[in-house]
Amino acid sequence: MNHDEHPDDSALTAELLGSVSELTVPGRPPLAAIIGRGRVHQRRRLAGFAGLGVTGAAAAIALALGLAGVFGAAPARGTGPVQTGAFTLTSYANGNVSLNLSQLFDPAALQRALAQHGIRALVKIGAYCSSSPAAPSPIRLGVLPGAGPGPGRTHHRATPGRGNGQGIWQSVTLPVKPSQLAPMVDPVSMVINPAAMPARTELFIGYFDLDQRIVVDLIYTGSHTCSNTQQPPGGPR
Amino acid sequence: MSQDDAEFAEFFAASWDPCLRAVAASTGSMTLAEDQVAEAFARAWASWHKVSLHPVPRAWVVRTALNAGASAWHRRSKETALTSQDIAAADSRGTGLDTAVLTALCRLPARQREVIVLRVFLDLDIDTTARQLGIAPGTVRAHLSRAITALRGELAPAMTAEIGR
Repeated sequence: MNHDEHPDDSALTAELLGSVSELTVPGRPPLAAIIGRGRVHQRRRLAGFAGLGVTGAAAAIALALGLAGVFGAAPARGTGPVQTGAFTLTSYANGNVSLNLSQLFDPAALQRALAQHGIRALVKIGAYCSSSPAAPSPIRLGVLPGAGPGPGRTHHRATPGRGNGQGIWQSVTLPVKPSQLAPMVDPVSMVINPAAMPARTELFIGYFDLDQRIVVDLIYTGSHTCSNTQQPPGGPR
Repeated sequence: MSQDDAEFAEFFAASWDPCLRAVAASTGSMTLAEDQVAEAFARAWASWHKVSLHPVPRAWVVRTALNAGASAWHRRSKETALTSQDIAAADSRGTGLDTAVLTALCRLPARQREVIVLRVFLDLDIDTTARQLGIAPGTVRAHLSRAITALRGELAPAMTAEIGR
């Protein structure tokens, strides 16, 4: 407090400042937690734009046919509060489609939305599907070319598959309670190029609750088997 | 880490404590303030391309935190009618903040508290404070004057008592 203050006020403002400077503040939360929370806002904003079917300036450079997938409440694990699942799909002019997955999602609705974006897919929760012989690697074919363009891009973690050596594994930490500080610290984001998918194949997307992982792989349409499991082959990471 | 993220990380590291202190003093609750400030920093990250150009990014964070708190307060007030004294008494313990100061601040109208936070705690000048709040500089002076008068009335007896001890 300075120039335009009444001289009589200085003791009071000093008192105020002194009190505040003595405040014992808890340590900073991890930056990753703040960024995770910030991503929630970005996603909501993007979903809002997509829901309107308007992408503003982005429309000039990309045919952004957005589809925001925000579903009803899904039961949280245990007896905790109800948790809402969500995903966002966005098509780009080059034919690629970005998919952001967060928290629990409705597999049937995601599968329908992917179909609307020209992506043949089989989406399961708690089930692993594979073809024998295995379909080609989606990474090698360029079906999963990398992180998506545009604002709100999140990191894409893909590591070579294990088990059958064909798929990719993506780890995601799902929140147990919506009230946790960082519900979106590690969302899954991927880009799918449907044009690179060979004929008679489809994309398998499986979520496994036990170790909270999402597996993405190619399988042959009509020639695959699925087995219920809470953990994909290869065991816990 | 991108350059934007690096800039944000630097801002976050340097600004967390002062922003949290300012908001805690204004809300009277360290617990609430911590959550509100975390929320404000998260929003700052999400809009960093704009916030980084703000003349006083810390003020943006504090304002956003206070607005987030106001929304939460409206939600809470529908459930339980708490008084500012309740908040101060409940949450000042263990924060190191003088309860008398906290209570006095909490008794101020919201706009006066905002002026105190920006003008005194963040040390913004009158014109900048006015721009942040979207009001005229004269209005800032009026709010400041009323707030100081009210605080003097609340705190003077306590200060006198301390001196007399």
